[in-house]
Amino acid sequence: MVCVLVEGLTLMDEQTLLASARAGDPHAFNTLVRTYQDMAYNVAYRVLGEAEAAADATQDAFLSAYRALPAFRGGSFKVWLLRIVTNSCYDQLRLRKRRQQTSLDDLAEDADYASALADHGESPEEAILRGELARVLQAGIASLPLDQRIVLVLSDVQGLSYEEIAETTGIALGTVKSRLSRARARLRDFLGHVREPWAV
Amino acid sequence: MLRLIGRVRDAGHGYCQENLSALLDGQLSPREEERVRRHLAECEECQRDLRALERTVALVRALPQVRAPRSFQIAPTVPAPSVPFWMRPWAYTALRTATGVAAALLVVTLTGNALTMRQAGRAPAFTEAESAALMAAPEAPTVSADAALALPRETGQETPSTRGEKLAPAATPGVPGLGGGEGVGPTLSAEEEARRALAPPGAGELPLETPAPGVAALAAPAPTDTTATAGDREAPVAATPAQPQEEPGQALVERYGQERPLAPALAAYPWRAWAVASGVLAAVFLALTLRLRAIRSRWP
Repeated sequence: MVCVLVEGLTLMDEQTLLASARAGDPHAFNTLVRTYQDMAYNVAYRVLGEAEAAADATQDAFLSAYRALPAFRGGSFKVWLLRIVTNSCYDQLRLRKRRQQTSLDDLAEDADYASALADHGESPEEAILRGELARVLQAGIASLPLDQRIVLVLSDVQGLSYEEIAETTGIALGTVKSRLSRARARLRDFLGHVREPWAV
Repeated sequence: MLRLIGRVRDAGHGYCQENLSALLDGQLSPREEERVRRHLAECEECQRDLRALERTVALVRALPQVRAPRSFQIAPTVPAPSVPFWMRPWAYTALRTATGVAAALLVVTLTGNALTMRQAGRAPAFTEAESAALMAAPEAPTVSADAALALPRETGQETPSTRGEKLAPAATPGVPGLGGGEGVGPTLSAEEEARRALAPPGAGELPLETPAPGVAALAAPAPTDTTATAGDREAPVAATPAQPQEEPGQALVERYGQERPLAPALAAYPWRAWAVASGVLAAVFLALTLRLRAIRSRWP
């Protein structure tokens, strides 16, 4: 049997863990959580643009996933989990909208995310430039309509294939293609208006 | 002419713009890619946009991975996984199958209804022998449901064999396709033919539904009294459409000046009732299926 390595877990390991988790073993499920939590949080963070909301969405997603395990119909656990994560993002956005907290300005004032960025061993100048670029890019992503934002994050942040995106979002392949095209074009135009060295 | 060329170029430009993103991902078919590249070669704007798009995608891909700020492991006290039964994978499959069966049942009953109505609309003139046979059934003219049910047994025994022969050709058209074809025609005895010709409208109809798989289980008990008394050979015959059954009934009504719509209404009633029931069932199942699909699309 061909075993593909998924971030430290082989598919066979994953199946075994899933079976145990489904039978009600939280430890088995927590192994899966440790494997996928960075990916889940990263997607939620890029979609929501806010650390706290992203953490809440990720926590909700893992809880929902654990409860819904019997409904998992096989296939890719990663794709299934991402589907739950994106649904949690929708819920978080609705919640925030209800609390009247959605504002692009929050983003710039979000102290958490700069420290959360991974260290790439850059010089301080590079880090600042990179941090600034990340901030602008994140603002650009946040300016996209939610549907386009999710497809763009899944494709270009998470590196999912068109087929995986279609499965995650439940939309047709052709729609993935056109939605991604519109999202990228919009982001390109957004960055084109920014008078910075990285402006495209 | 120039305008036409301009329009063609505009179309090429729009197509190219729409597909730049897929071009970057290598998601175009060779034919699509060739079309995009052909336009790219002569359009500076598209070339510029492609470069900018490429850079945008590269920037997004270079965004640093954000690490989870804390662990999202679940507490051991969290209750074991459970989902409501209707969210299990089999529930949706079962509901979809039920919708299909109900829809098939609807088609069958509608077809039956349409056939019944059509045949009720063209009752041919009676031959003398037929009239004589019909006259031999004294209670028939009252056309109550009971009388109609009583009819075949009495007339079946009393009618001369000539009746069967005359009715035989009339009984066969329209029969194929709805099952029960074998046993019809020359192999039937005159007595059986007569019985069949005068069978009450409701008698032969329920067995007709057997072509739809799974329908028999849903069907209410068939009016067994006629078929039971008629003997074993009656069964395939009873499964033929109600065509021959209609003619005498209608003629009787006309002859004796009874309310005209009564016989067709009687004939149509079981079909219509089944059609309505299966229609409602199909609609309910369909609505449930769609609703469940919507819920499941929001669910993992």
